[in-house]
Amino acid sequence: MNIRRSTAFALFVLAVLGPARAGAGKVSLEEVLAIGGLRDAALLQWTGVTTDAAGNIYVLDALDFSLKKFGPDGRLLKKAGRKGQGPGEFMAPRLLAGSGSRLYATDQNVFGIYEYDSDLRFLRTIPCPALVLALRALPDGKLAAAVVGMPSPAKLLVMDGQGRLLSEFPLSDSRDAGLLMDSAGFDLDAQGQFYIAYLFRDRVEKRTRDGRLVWGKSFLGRKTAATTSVQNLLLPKETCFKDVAVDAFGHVFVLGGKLSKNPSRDVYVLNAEGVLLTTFTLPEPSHCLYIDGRNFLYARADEGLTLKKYRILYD
Amino acid sequence: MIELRAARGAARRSMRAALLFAAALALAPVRSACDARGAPFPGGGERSSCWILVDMDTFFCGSCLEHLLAFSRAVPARIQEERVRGILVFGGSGNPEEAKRRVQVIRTKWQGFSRANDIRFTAAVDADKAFAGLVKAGIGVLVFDARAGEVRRYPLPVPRGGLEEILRVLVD
Repeated sequence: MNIRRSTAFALFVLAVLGPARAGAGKVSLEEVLAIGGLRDAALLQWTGVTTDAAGNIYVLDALDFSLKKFGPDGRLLKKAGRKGQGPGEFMAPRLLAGSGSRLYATDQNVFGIYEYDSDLRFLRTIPCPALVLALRALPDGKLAAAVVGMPSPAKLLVMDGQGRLLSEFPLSDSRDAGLLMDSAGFDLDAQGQFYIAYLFRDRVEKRTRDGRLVWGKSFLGRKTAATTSVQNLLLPKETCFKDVAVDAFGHVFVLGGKLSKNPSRDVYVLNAEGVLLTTFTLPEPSHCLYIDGRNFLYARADEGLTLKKYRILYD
Repeated sequence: MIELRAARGAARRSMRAALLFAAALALAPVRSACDARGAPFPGGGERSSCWILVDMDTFFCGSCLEHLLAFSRAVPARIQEERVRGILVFGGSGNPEEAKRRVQVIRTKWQGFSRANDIRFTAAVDADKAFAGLVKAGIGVLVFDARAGEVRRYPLPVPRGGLEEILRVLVD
């Protein structure tokens, strides 16, 4: 109860007092926690991360095929999962999202979303019609997923907790996007509007919940990533953007990919209108960005051996 | 884990380094696999061994992990412990500090990965990049066939019939 109260208070402070101090003229990070490390096998190759209201941190690890729960102090509390294709097992764990007392995980080549409780008990597999590229759990128990489109365009789906499709829209307006070119990550703001960053195109978009384009912007000065031919298929080989996350003040943090000046480290901070406010650089390359409900940012270090938690500082 | 320091030099010397290292790893007393005329001995004490060269820069793609785990599952635990060694190869810049950090990263990852997946063979980080020329991407297997006096190279996944060949050599 105390944790809930303190969380509620922290959110209140952020909501009421924060915006005045969060103009995002300049953003920097202050490290507050590191889980794992160069000589610590707590994490081996972490992929997905989410948190709960109590400050616990949940992480998927691709090298020991597990889901791990760490306390707010970074201590390992529980570990679940192993290699396999049975309930609670993984072949290639990738994405993780959480809402309330539920966790949602994906296995790279599985058409479905695994549901767990906060004690890491596997509950069931929620059906999904395609492979999931990005996943968010919405506060109302719904799930939003960007799914692969081959040959049809990639889509953004909103499903209920049973996997029933509530709405969907295509991710790309481009008719000749090419294979995988409409792959994207996304996040939502407090109003439920989508911010979408394309993996292989220099494009970030804002869309309404029903998919209407609000704005689309380029930030890298290049339209598309280079491609390579694999077994007569033309595939993109350079990432433009790797992930996107919205902070407590509605700023949009977009993680640059290989085409950034500092690959996988540059973060572009936009306002809700898509105006670039500032950029900053992560200390180490990361494959993803996650911002929790208390406005802490999580990113990768040591090539996946370490998960770092940062306080976001706004000047 | 053993740290490789013996084999310095350019990629063209890699095979020679590999042969020397194979000799060092053989568990039984090692002697030349060929007689004075170059003909292989018909057997007599040498023990064959197998090295798995793992490109740690591409190792974490799903299929590479799967191929390596499939191979380790197919090789009996005792054979893994006695006859198989891993060489963990990596690329990157020539910055010594960065290379030192990467050696530690790779070592920690391998330890955790092998423990979690019951891999029984030990592995060494190719700290001096002696084997960089032998593994461009993915995973390769070098089999030191003591009886035949030959080194054979296989990709992973091993082509059809290859796994049986490797096991036959290692069990001999």
